[in-house]
Amino acid sequence: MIARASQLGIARCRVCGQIEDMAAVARCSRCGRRLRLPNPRTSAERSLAWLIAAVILYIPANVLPVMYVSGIGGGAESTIYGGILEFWRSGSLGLALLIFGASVAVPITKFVALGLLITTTLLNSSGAPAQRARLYRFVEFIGYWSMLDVVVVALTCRLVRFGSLAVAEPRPGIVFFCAVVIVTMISAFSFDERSIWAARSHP
Amino acid sequence: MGSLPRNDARAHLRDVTVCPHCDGLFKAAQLKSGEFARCPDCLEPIQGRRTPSPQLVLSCALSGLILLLIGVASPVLTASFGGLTTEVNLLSAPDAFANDWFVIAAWALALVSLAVPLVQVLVLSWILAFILAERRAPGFSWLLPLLQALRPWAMVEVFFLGTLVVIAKVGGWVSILLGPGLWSLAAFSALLATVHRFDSASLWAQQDLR
Repeated sequence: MIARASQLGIARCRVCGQIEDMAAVARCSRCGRRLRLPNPRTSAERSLAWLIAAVILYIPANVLPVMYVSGIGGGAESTIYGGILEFWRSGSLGLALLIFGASVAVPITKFVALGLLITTTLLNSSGAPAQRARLYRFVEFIGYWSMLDVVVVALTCRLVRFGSLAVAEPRPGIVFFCAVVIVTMISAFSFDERSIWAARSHP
Repeated sequence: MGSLPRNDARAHLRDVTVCPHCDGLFKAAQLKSGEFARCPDCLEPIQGRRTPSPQLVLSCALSGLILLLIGVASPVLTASFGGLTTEVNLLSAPDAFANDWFVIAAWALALVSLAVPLVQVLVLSWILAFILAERRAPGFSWLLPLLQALRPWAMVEVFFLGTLVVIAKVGGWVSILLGPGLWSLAAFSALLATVHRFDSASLWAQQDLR
């Protein structure tokens, strides 16, 4: 069994990486930051709170329209799914898959993965830490690509301003979607990846 | 790196390392140059990671600054339809959400696509310029943590991919011109990859700096 530093009151400074004995000092002797031992329960609960907020925000993000496009023939609002279907029907399968990946697959994968990591931590589970660590790194890596749809709507609305001929305007759904991306990222960063290994140190 | 008997740990703080990913406590490895060590438990590289030289990162950060200014000063995309022409760049894109409470999204987009990358290259240039002069930059102790905190929030490459999607999305019925800003964005994304490989926390270890 490998010892965990926190069990011995030894902390690694999160800012500069200095190793300190918490029995001797409360602040890092090199950079002056307050030292903290990992606290699996607190970090998991904080992460869970943000995750719940993200899941709630995800509902209006999908139900409400994200964009309104008007032309000579009238106007129409579209949702995220509508945008994906539009690419699909027009034959741009690759783009439909890209937007589906960034706007649907990535957020839902993040919800499930974070939910799993938080639950196993709260249950003090010691199983498959290497796999869970890989899952956490994957969540960190894919997180910000969801912002893609927000960028696409912003650029489209800035470009398509041709008076009575064609105008694109943002709709509330995209603001909620932007919030989902940011809140999910905060949820992921609130989770302390060291929690995954903490249960293993109990003999 | 072997595991460490628990009661010895406190006595040898100098000779131990703690994995930032799994909190495992190990004897620090004696590395030759070019070698690196993985955490024996979670297998993440934790010691002696190769990091680009300060000179390279400084030059990337300074060229990144120029590229970012091009992305602000010149159009990323220009669209024309029915005799009307519109354009968008890094600075004007968030304006799309300028109406009432949508402004939250405007600020978020402006932060991740422009403000965060801009602060990153400015702060890094500032710190590294002093490092090359073998001095510690004023504000070093709060600028370096800021740099670490900002890192996940820079989304220039997402913005670049977004422009490509828009070209495909509206290019069918609107004529789209690619502006200089688009190429500077692409180049900036590539440079940022090098900048992000730089292990800025290692600068703390340079105690001799004054």
